[in-house]
Amino acid sequence: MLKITNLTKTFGEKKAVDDLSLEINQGEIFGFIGHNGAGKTTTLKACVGIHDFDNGEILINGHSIQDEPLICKRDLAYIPDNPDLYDFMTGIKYLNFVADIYGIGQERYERIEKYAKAFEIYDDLNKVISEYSHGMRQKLALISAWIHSPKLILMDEPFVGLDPKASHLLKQMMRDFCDEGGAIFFSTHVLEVAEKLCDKVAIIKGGKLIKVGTMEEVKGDESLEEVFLDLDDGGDN
Amino acid sequence: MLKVLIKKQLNELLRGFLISQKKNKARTKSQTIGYIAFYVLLVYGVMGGFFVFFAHSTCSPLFSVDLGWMYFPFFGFFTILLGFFCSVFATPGMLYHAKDNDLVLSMPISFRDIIISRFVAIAVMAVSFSIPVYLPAMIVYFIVQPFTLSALICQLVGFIFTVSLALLLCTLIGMAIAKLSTMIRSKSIISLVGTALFLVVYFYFIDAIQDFMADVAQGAINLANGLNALSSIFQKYGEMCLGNMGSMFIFLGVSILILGLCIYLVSIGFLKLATSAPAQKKVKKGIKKDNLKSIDMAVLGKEKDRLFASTNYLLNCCLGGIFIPAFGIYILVKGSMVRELAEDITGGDMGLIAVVFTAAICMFSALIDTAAPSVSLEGKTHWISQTLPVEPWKLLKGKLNLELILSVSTTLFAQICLIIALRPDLVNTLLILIVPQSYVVFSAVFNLLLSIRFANYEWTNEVFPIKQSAGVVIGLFSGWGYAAVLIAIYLIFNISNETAYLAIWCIATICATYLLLKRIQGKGTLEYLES
Repeated sequence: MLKITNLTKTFGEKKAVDDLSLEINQGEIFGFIGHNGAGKTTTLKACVGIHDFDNGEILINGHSIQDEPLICKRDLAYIPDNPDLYDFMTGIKYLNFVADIYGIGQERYERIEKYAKAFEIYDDLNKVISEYSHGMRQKLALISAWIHSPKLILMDEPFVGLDPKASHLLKQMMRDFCDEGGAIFFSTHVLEVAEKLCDKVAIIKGGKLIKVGTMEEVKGDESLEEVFLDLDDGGDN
Repeated sequence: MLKVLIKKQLNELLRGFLISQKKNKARTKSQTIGYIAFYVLLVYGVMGGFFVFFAHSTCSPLFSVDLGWMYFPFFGFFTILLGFFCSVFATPGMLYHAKDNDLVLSMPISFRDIIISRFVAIAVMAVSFSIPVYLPAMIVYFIVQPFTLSALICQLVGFIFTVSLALLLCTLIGMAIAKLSTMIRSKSIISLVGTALFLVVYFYFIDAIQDFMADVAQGAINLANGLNALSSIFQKYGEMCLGNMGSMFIFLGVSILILGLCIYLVSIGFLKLATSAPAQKKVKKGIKKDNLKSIDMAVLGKEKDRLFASTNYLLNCCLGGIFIPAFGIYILVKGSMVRELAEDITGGDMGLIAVVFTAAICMFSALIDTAAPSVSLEGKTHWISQTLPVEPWKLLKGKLNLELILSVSTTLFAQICLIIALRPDLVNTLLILIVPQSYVVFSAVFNLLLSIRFANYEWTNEVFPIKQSAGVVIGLFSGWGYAAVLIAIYLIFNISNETAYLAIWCIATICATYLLLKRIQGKGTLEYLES
């Protein structure tokens, strides 16, 4: 579903991502963990076409994000770490806007109702987004990602700002989405969530991938937190 | 701390000069100086040039009929007007709705420092817009009258006095707008009321000035007779600006009092206005099913929603939407007078009339420039455009179309009014219709190109991209420059065949538009997505 090969991205002198290769298959929830500034967001942004990159290749469903961006973008959804949405629109207008862009017909309303009720923001959809709290924006961004039935969802710290109920719901939605044939690639600092939720995990440090594999391969008998801290110390030394 | 805050405010104000958005790096000193010099040349060159001309044609006649004291009140009035109108719409945003209000209020910073630093930024803005009016008046004065140090000092105090009055007006109206926005659900109502009031004052003022100038020119009345209290202040002010040092101290003292009053007024309402949530609409529950839209219509709808949700955007970039029809209605109502006047001036030369009115419409239509800040206005939501499966040109086209819809329709209305009033022959009718419309399209495309070229997504207040970005300033002044060049070439080269002249002008404009459009569709779309 998503294949990253030898991705390298520099900002001036600094290599934000250094020769990174990953593959995320259909049905997988893939966790991406690392320090602040490790290169997680840069990788995600490169995958969705926000950042250009210096070397390597990113394929989504076999299509290059650089050469065929529109085909790739049609298949994916992205939720940034800080859901800055169009403040001047109401929630429902924003969802309709996204649905119009993706050419979703009347079935959009069924989906909007389903997810908005599940996230408990159905009654707030006619409010302008500027009145939304961070968590409500996050929920709206999640609904906008789900309503156009993408094949691949990329999320940057999706659990930040969500209340416990919404976090639980999101985990369930992520699992259901992948069980139905989708794939999810998300970054997180919450290692407990990654450990319980992810099929595969990758640890990145200083732009370089230092460990990748299934959860069992990466953590063995230890907890993901212990593995992460061990790798981090080793890397520092 | 005050120094740090003022520096931060000024950095924000001058961000476009200091930071290269393209490279996201600070500009070098020489680049910054170059950009500032370009800006000064553009704004001060065009506006200053206009006021030099104005001052030159006013100064000598007033002094020759012993009414020299009227000279500075006259320009002081324009100074207040420009300083006020160029700053008032930004005042609520910079004072009460700044995005970093919560941050600075949560820090151990004295309340007084926060208010003074914000106020200084507004004052700098008011001063920068006032200088192009007042400075030419001073320069022309010293050309016509002998130089004295006392006159120079007094005129500088006169400038401080006019700017402080502009700031007092800004403070009062800014407070009223901020207060209303916490009470009224729809901010667009405020915009509408504010603009309508603005128009009433504007036309009343223009009418009064016209009458006043006519009276002065004819020397028919003794203006000193019948001076009321307000006029007496004007006279005192005017006499002070000519070098009356005694009055100077009074005006300086009053100016300091006014500035203190402004800061006091801001401080008494600041905390409440800065922290109160805007009035919320009663929200209907449930989903109203809308018609599905095409991508083009969805993108256009988004741009339209952005415009009508923002008072700043609406008033700064769409003022022509009111001015142009108002101009049309004025021409229609005073049709016979306009026609007679035009015929008197031009000796009935319909070709010349067509050139002049074509230029006038072009000048007014430059007041609609919604495309100019549109890319920067995406701000932190630019990621949405970057990740949607839409060709970047379609996203840009939405911005272009919004400006075209507004400017083409309003300009067409004014053109029809003009044709009804002037009743030109068929050829000139066609030219009056086609030339401004070709300019309107050119202007929209040019504004969009500027918007891409000077895109700046890092702002804490929407006022900055709307009002102070290089794209907006260049777009506005190039519109006026276009009108000025249209007339200047005609007059300088003494062109006799106006029809051919306007036709060539029109073809050149269409060709330039085509080239700019190709540039946007090519390199421009890449710059837009990658920025």
